[in-house]
Formats: sequence, C-alpha cells, structure tokens
Amino acid sequence: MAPRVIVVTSGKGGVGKTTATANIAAALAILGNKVVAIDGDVGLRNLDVVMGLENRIVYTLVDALEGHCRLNQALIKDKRVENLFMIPTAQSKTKDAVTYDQMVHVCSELRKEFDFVLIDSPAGIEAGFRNAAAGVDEALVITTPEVSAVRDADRIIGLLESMEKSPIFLIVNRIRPHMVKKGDMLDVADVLDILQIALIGMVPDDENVVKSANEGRPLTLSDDSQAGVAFRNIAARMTGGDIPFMNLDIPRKGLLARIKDAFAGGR
Amino acid sequence: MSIKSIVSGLFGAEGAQAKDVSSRQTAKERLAFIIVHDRIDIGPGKMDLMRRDIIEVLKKYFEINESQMELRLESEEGSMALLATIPINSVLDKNDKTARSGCSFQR
Repeated sequence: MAPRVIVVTSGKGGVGKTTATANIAAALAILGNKVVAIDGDVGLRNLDVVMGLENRIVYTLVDALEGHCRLNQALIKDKRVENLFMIPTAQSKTKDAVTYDQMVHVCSELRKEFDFVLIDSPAGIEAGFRNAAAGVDEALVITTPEVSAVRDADRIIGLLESMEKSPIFLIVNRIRPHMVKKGDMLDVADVLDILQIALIGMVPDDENVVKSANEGRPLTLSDDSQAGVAFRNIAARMTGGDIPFMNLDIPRKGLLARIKDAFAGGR
Repeated sequence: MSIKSIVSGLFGAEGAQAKDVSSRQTAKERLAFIIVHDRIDIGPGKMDLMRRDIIEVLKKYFEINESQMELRLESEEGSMALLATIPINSVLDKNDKTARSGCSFQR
C-alpha cells in the first residue's frame, strides 16, 4: 500500500482536531498500520498531552529541522500499541520556526517509513495551516454542527481544494442526538447539504473524550465509548472498510418513559 | 415546570413541532446564505450596490416595482446562481409613451 499523508484540519479552533488526530492515529495502528501523528501547532502543542506522551519528549520537530537532532530522534514510540509514533512540536517557538518547504521535506522522509502520516493542523487559515498541509496529499476536515464551525469548514475546504488536496473527507464531531431530534441542532444531512463533500465519520458528543484527555489515553486504545467506536469506524473506513454509519437517532420512547421524562422536566 | 410542559412532554409535542421554526432550520438557512456569499466573496453591502445598478439599467426599459424586487444568490449542487424576481409594472416604449398594460405614466 502506498503511504498516505493526511492533514487533520478545521479552520475553527476547538472543534476536536487534536482529539481526532490522536484517536484516529491510535485506531489505524491497532488495525496494523505503521502510523506517525505530527503536532503541527508550533507554540501551542497539545497532541503530546492528549496522547499522554508529554513526559517522553526529548527532541521536537523544530529541533530536527534546526539540525539539533535527526528526525527519527524526535519520534516518540507509543508503548501501548505496536507501530504508533508521535512527533511533538516546540512549545517555546512561533509558527515561523517551521517553513513550507521543511514540512514538504519532513513528509517525504516519513513516507519512506510509515503507512500513515497524520498532521494535526493549527486552527486558522494562515501560515500554520498552510505549513501543516504543505506536504500532504489528503485531508480530514473536522466540524461540529454549529454555524460558525461549518462556515469555517467551508472556507478551509475551498483552500484545500485550491491546494489540490484529494480526497478531502468530512468528520462531523460532537453531535448531540437529543438536540438534533428536538430541532435544536443541525443534523449531519444538513451539514453535508451545505458543504457538499464526502462524509467519513460522525462522532457523538461524549464525556469520555474529556476523561480520556484527562488521562492522556486515546479512547480508541481501549474502551467502547460511543466516541471511541466512532473514531475506530473512521479508521476502518480510511483503510477501505465498508462500515455503516453509527445510528445516532434517539429511539422513540414508550409512554412510560415519556411520563417519567415529563415529570423530571427531561428532554 | 408548567402543566403545559408536562403535557407536551407526555404527548411528544416537543421541540420542532411545538415551535414554528426550529433553530436548526434557522441555522441551516443562515448558513446557506452566509456560505454562498463567502464563496464568491461578495457581502450584503456589495449586493445592495449591484441591486441599485441593476435597477438603473432596468429603468431604461421597464417601469419596475423596486420595493418588491428580490435579488439573491443560491447554491445548488456546488454551482451558484443569481436569482432575481423583478415585478414589472409596465414596459417603456420609446416611440409610444403609453404603456402596453394600459396604465399611463410619466417619464
């Protein structure tokens, strides 16, 4: 299989890029691929803490680019799963520490070693994003079912298309089925209508995401939380698996349940 | 909690059905509008200028009802269209200064 180099991006901040990168990278490794996740957010690194590898950092991507170490010295091996690696970035530098050409070079080097290279992009559409996307072929665009996030996703999709990235897949994150059912939240079909790109995953809003970040342990490594399963499904689809989309509809409740809910002031 | 909310909870008349327009629908309509303008990089202000220019041109040929004129951008399946609904009161004929519709006007 030809190596695949993919940027995980969104335009808007706080929609779950880092969570998605960590979880999908771990899930791809579990499926038997050799995977490296790169933190592309120079100066605001977070992939290391979300993956729980912050104590293992010796060198960063910037150290390698500045010639203080070799690229493979900046690679951190995740001990919990075979074939999962992470390259942290520098926390004390700014976006200028990395150039477009350097990222193209890094990606071409890593292609020789890995099946998947995932780059966690910073928010925004400026140099940070452009560098993160510089050496990749494909993109995963993350959005939430909110007006601001979808608008920014549209902008970033336009930029990715102009950079000739293909395929570009969409992940709709933090879906709250109860709100969708009540007509208080956009559903996935609405978002697809607007953005007109292919869907590769829908992830329900899940408290376990917060817990897993607290512990520095991607959900896809272990548990069967809804979000964990959703991210595992995405990894399976990325490797050609024909996995049906998770049913996030709320089953219509029986009369008794509705009576209970009504008196509890519930949904 | 009101009796009404208990009753509506019981009968499932919650959310979308209870309200006239759901916030989801509003969100979708607003997004469609915003994105179509984002994509061609033309804001509502520019649209207004264009509308005035179009009216100036049309005025040479028609007497139009400006207040009911509608001009909007729509996007479907990735392609975009400028849709205009322009009610025409009468056609201006340079030789015959009376309108075909029969109503007379001055110019």
